[in-house]
Amino acid sequence: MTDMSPASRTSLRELVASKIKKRHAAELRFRGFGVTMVVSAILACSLLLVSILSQSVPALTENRLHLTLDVTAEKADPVGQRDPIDIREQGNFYGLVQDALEARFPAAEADGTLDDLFDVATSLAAVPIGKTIAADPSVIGKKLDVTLPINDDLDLFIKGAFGRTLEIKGEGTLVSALKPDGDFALSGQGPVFAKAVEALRGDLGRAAGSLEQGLILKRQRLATGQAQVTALQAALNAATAKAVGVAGAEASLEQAANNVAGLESEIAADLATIKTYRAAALGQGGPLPLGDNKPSVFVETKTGTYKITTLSPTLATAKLLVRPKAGEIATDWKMVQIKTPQDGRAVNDATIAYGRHLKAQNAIQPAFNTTIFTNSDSNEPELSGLLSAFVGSLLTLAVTFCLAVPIGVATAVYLEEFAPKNWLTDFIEVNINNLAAVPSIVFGLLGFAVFLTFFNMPRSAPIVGGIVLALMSLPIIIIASRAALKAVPPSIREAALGVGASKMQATFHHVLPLAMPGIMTGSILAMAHALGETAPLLMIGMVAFIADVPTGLSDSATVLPVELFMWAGRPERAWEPRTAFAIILLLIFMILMNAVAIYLRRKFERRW
Amino acid sequence: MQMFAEFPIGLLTALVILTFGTWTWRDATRRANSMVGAGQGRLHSLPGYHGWYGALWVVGPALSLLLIHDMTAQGSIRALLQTGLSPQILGLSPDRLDLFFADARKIAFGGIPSATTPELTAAAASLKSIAGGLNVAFSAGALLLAGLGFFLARSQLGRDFRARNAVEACVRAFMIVAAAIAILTTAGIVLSLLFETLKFFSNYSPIDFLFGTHWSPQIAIRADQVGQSGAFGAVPLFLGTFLIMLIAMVVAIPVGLGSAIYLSEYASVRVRAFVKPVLELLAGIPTVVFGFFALLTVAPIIRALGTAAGLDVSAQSALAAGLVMGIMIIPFISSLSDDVINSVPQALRDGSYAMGATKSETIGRVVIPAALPGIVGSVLLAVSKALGETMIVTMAAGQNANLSVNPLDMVTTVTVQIVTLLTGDQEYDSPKTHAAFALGFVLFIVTLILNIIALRVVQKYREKYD
Repeated sequence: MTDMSPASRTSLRELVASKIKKRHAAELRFRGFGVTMVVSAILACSLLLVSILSQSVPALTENRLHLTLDVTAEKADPVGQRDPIDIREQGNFYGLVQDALEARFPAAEADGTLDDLFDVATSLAAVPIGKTIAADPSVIGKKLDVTLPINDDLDLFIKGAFGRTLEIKGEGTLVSALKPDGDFALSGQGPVFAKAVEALRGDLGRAAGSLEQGLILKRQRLATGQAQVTALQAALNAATAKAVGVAGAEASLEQAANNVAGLESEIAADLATIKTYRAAALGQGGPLPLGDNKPSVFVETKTGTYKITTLSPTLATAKLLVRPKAGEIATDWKMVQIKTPQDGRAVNDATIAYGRHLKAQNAIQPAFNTTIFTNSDSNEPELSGLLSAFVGSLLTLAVTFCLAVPIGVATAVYLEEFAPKNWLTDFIEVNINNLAAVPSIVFGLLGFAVFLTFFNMPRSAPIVGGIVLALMSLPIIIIASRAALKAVPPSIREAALGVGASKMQATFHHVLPLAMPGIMTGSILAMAHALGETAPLLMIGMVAFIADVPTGLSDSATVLPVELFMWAGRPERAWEPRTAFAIILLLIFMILMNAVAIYLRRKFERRW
Repeated sequence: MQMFAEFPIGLLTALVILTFGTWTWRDATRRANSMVGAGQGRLHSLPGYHGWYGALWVVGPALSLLLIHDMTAQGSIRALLQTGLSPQILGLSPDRLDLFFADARKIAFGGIPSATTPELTAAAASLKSIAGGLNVAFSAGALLLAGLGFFLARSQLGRDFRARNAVEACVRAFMIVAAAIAILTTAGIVLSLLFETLKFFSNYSPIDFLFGTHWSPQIAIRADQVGQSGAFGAVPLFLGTFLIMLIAMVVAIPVGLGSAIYLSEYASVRVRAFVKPVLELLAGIPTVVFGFFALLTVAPIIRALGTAAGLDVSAQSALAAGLVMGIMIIPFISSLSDDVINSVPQALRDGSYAMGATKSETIGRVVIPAALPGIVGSVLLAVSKALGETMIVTMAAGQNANLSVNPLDMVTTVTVQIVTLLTGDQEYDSPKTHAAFALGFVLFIVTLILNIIALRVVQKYREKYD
């Protein structure tokens, strides 16, 4: 270094200085990468929680129908003996509900909208009424106040799940005139429908826009489909030449050709719709035609509802949905626009119209959703609950706990304190570590092959589910227990042995109690894991429709995660918020279990 | 005897025996205590051990007998019933005979039989009395054993009797049996998978299974059904599994590793205290919840984005399943790597700092290379977890066995097909069931190899710095 000239020393310093800048920039970039990764992990977690929370919001409340039933003897107890069993089996309780609804809207039968009115509540919803009457037959012949959940789709509509419902207050008095074809002509003083027409035109323009967007994709699919047809045609020609596999090639060619034809007709239909939408949006072609594939527009008076079929600023033709009271002077009326067309939802216009009137009459009221806690699974979303799955989870976990914890702790104690170090214990150890990483579905296969097929145990039973989950959580408990036992210092054992305890006494009287907090923490975490496990239970038939609460270990049952897996797969829209709600309940249970584990760890943790 | 067929006499006997056992425990303890009090000098074993010894003799053999009865009852009832049946019924084909017994059982114990004939009613009556008789006989036997055990234990009770050693031998035996369960489980998994897989391969060539490219497990029930050939070429499933695993790893490795490095090397105590629980929360969420998230949140977002970009995205895409699976695996990689990075000795870092290296240079050139085997091990474990993950792919990846590597397509995986083949109504002994086990066997072998390598690498590495 002493040979270094001052000049080269400064240049070296400059070199280092310039490099340092680069190195610090690299340092910053690296750090930034770390921060980005942490933030993205947190974002992913919060996106998950926020999306599930927001999806569950509609399931927090349910709209209930409050009715006063006239409990007539001929419907409630057709046998007439006032025998509870007869009442429950023979009574027509949905008929009572239907009567009460009809009494509110006497014109429904004449107008042919009776079925739409009855759609407000499903027949299964009336079953609890039967139980009430059977429990107290003295109400027969009297009035009975009941509440029942309403149709899930109407419920979702009232909660606003089908898009915002636009209401425009009408001005002046609405005049309706019956036309010869049975429709009504609605008018007022001047252009009373102008606002609604304007709003609709905007909607139609947007609808045409989104259809055009979709067309791009459909044209692409058409192009690939056509290419496929050409390729398959070539393949067919080759097959015919070789005279092998002709039938198969023909079949796939036909399928592809059908596909292309379907796409072509879809595109043509879309083009036609876009044209009419565009024309209507620009105000061409006279009054706006409104069909079932366009947003529904109602004119609602205090007691009646019309559905508009064509609309211009001054005049509308409309179908009657709910007949207004005779002689009503409609000074207080409004236009109601529902963005989702009737074709796009499972609840039709008439049912919605009745639902809106019932709501206005305070016969439909929202309340906290208790059904989900008190009912078991059902085909009707509004009547479904988690009770049977909850009890199933409890029974299954009880079996798992009773098997996995004693066996797991015994294994851990043996391996850690007693086992001689030889090839057999090494083999057991390797085995346990590998079992901990075996995919859970493999345990399901084991359960299927061994317990269902070989031992002929009942399908879908909590006992089998519990055994499978116990086998799955054993390695976790053993590993956690061994770690807890290892953490107890040898001085404890030596002290116990020194005062004359046997090895067994030293272990069970001194080491095990000190390791117990760690063991319990590990066991609770393993139970929380077992509570959320789904895949192995699918294999042993716990994915079943269970409408009754299981009462024993060999009854058919399902568990919470499997129940929400089934709910997530059902087509009606109302299942989605209910599933999200079920997820939140499941997560609350798991967080509680984890909290207990953390509390135990904090409270009893000892550093030696 | 018929009345004891349904009456839970076995359960009642078990309760009686347990009560008797508790009483014996107290009685023997008291007796041993009184021996000390009577001035016989010191006992070899503490009084409590005499109590346990007596209780074990009372409860152990008796409950074992009841358990044996419970497991063998079906078989022995049938064997006894067969001795009293007329030859023409015994001459029925095995299937019909099974049905006959099932019907007799239904008539006897409530249920809806497929037919009701005088023979069946008679058989049901004798079945009921046989079952009742067996119940009574075994319960009486169990009580007798309990009594014998009681007197045996009492006769041995004495000053020099080594009750502690006997009880400890019992406990030791229980622990050895418990430890053997881990081996039994592995053996059960291997045997059941192997057995059913061999059944599958006796009808279907393993070459076609492992290298065939056409998967369509539906088997024609009627001859006129087209396109239902029952082809079990699993390559599309392997490819789909691999594709989704790859997407998951592309998400999980950078995020998991980056978070682990940041948390262990840069983060302040407060940041750690916030981020670690979040990752633990993520690790505790059941996979079915991730599946729901993938199906109803991520897949629609991807679809909307793809459509806006003019791409054709299927409703259930490999990308959605893979992304969400990646999120699920992040905490797995981050916690394992965090452990490994933390166990790199501080001296290595200090040496690097002393040479003037920056923190990122130290991490990149010293810490990561030192921790590399452990990190590789954790990534391998994560890969094995991704391959075996079931619920996310069942809900979000779809059922169509497309031979495609386009992440926007619908693909299917090994686990999805196992679930599809084994749920729903079918007999136990069909090619579809066996195919599910063959898939499970492949999955088990692949994950086992990955696990063994990973565990070995991690263990070896841990020993290096301990």
